[in-house]
Amino acid sequence: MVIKKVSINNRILGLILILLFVFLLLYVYNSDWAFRRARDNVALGFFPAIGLGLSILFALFLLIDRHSREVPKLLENPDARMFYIPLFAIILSWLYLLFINWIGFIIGSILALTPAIFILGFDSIKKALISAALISLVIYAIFTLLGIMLPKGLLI
Amino acid sequence: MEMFYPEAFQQALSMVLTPTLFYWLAIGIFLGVGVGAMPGMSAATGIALMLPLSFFLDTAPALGLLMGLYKGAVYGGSIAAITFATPGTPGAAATTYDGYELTKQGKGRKALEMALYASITGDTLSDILTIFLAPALAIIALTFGPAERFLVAVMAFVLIGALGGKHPIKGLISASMGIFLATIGSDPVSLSPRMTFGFWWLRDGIGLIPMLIGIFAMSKMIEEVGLIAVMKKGMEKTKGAVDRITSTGPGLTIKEYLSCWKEMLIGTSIGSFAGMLPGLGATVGAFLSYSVAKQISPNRDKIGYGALEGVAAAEAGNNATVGPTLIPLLAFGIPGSASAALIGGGLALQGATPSPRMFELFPHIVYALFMILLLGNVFNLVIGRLVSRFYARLGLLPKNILVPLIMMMAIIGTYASRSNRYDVAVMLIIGLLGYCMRIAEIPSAPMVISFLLAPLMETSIRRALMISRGDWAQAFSSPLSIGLIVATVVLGFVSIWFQRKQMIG
Repeated sequence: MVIKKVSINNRILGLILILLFVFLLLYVYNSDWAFRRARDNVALGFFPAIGLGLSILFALFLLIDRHSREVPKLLENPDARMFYIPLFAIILSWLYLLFINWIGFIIGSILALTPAIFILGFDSIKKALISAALISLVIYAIFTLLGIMLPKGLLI
Repeated sequence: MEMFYPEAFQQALSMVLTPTLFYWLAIGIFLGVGVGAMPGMSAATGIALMLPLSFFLDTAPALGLLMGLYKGAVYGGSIAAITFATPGTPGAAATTYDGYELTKQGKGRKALEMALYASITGDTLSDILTIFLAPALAIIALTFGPAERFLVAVMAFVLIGALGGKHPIKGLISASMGIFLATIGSDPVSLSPRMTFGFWWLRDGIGLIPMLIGIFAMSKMIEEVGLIAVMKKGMEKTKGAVDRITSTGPGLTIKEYLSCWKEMLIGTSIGSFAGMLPGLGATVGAFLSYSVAKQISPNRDKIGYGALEGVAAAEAGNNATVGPTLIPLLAFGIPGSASAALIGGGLALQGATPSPRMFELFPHIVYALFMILLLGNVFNLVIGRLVSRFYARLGLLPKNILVPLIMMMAIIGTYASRSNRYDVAVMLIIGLLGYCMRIAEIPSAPMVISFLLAPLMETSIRRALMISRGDWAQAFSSPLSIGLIVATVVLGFVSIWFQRKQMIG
């Protein structure tokens, strides 16, 4: 069975954005702080609502303007990997921060950078390890010389 | 406000004429030319990555580092454009036409030197213009009340949104999102939390460093990870192109440099104008200068086929935006471009938040910045001359090393500024948002600029309403306010018309 890929044009993008902004506007409306007034008599929810209201207004234009059927280049044939690989990269980045706080900057960075360099296309794991070690040491040296505190862990 | 503060000038001199400033300015330019020479990197990415480091420096060295990076990167973009026909930065795209043709003709060295000298010429002349124009505009800005300040910020919002990209509506969506993101944190009057989604660590709002690094560095790297994984996109440049540049060939003669004075003047004038106007910038400055030079230059028939005049116009055009882009920032507290927003962020981290009272409150910092602008050109000339041919090789650097390295720098830089891991979480979320905006072709610069503008807008309008006792009509009843409202509407329509015409053209 052939699965037809759907391209995401500006109109669909506009709809997604409107849904997102309306959801946020509902969050503001339902918050207990939204109608509380500051001493200048302005409600706390007024400016967040202005930002969201303008966003909804312009997203509506995205549905009807003459570019509405245009498709952004990277969304012509959207690949699922375009969405989960970046998400994966974000999660790994967060884990890296926790990792260097736990194990220490140099060892943590070498352990995290080596597979990253290798997965992104380096031909040999040995070269990736050497590159990762060099990068980690150079950054450690620069930051230490500048007196900037790096995360400290169990090891170095 | 006075036009000139002699004591502040002396203080600025003592801040600038130090070995530390020279050291950081040189480092900034050295790194900036390298960042510019790497295709895919931009001045904004480089400045964003160095912003946390600037936090640990004194004011003048911090400004030296950031301005050096900015100046170096705008020039450095021409190196990859001339060597590989791949502009290192978007602002250098117009240099590709004649620069790469010259390389193919074996005159790559001449093209590189022309790019350097034209960049320095355009940059220096436009810096002088900035030094004279910014204080004069600041005096005008001081006569504005809160209502007028709000309206000037609205005008900038419209211009930045409408001119921010090829699709004005997307620019305006981006700018509106910036206003919304700026409201996360606490209300500026009552200091009560708002839009925190129940997270205590959002009570201080979205920090400047996480925002700037997330949008300008992390989102770009996430995109690169996606492209490397999905398209297996690597560096396709051949070493042959680099060899053509790095081999010794005839350099540029003084006669050849002087013969391009008209094109450099065109580039300087148009680039300065593009730099001053919020929403335009180096890319528009370079392309407009190039196309005007192609129409009115005495050598117009040669431009496009490997003429030094084409390189001169484009490079003077993009570097001439560097100084003038600071004019709206210093005079009105309004950043007119992504790079100006980053420099404004650097100033805010030093405790000198850009505002219409910048000249009155921090004249010594403004004067130091002016001196750094001029000094930076001398450093750019020397360093650019020494490293340009060596940096031509940077285009061959494998992305599988570069991408994890920059991601690591982004994480550590964000963490180091306050030793706060929640800053990193915010930076990563903003990075993901920036990535989604990239693939949807929504420009991110308007969002960052309006994120910085929003507090000025909010405090000004609230002050204006307090003065008018909540009467909106009375708040905007002054002739200046009415004039600004009319000007905003007219400018909005003109800029959208200009965009449409450009697209049809």
